[in-house]
Amino acid sequence: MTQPIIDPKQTLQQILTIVNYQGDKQAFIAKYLALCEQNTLLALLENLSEEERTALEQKLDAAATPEEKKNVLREQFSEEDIAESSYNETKKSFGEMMQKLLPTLDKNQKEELKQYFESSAKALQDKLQLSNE
Amino acid sequence: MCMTAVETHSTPESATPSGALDGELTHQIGASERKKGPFGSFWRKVGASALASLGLNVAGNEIIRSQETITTIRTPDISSATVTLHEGVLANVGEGLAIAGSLGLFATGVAAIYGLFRDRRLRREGKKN
Repeated sequence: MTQPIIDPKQTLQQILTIVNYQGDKQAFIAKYLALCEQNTLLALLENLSEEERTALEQKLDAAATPEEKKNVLREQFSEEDIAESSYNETKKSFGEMMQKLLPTLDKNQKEELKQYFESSAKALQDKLQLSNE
Repeated sequence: MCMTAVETHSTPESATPSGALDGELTHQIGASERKKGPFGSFWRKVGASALASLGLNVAGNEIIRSQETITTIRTPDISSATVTLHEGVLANVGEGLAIAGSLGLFATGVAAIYGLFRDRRLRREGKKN
């Protein structure tokens, strides 16, 4: 499996630390990523016709093991579809999260968050440039 | 009996970062569960393990061969800072996201903020309803 260029768990952990999140950070991260996965599959399912959904359910019924079920899903949805749904759903979700979060931050937290995003964006660009060389 | 009024200045939960994050996460989970309703039987058939491994083969190194459009945006909600985003690359990173452990949240997250602020800027400038 290819590793992500940026680790989403680490990113969330950093954001939660900056905003002084008082709860269980790991639990929050796990719930949030599970939500993103669920929303991704929901978006994919919503794009199927009734007939396609029925056919997919029948295939899943016939698949006995998790591995077989996984293969059924991969046959149904292309990597492009999955990636696009994942991107769109996470983008929407995270945007809404930030919309609620930002007004509660003090000046220092906003500044720190801004710096984190800037440095992360730069780090990402550097990594991409290195990979291209 | 004489009662003395005590003025308190408690902060509503939603006005704190933790409260805002927890509240929004709960809200989003609730919305997602409601959306899941019609697909209940489907969900049971899929199983969590299959769901979590849906997109794991996306090749991240292929993603980076992308156009490079540097976009500079103003972020009114985070001071007056300028955040420079590698928009084209971010978009392409997003396209290559795997769903489970390799979900590229940063790329999507930053892109989300970019979109959010861009929309607000456009609204302010009267370019968007």
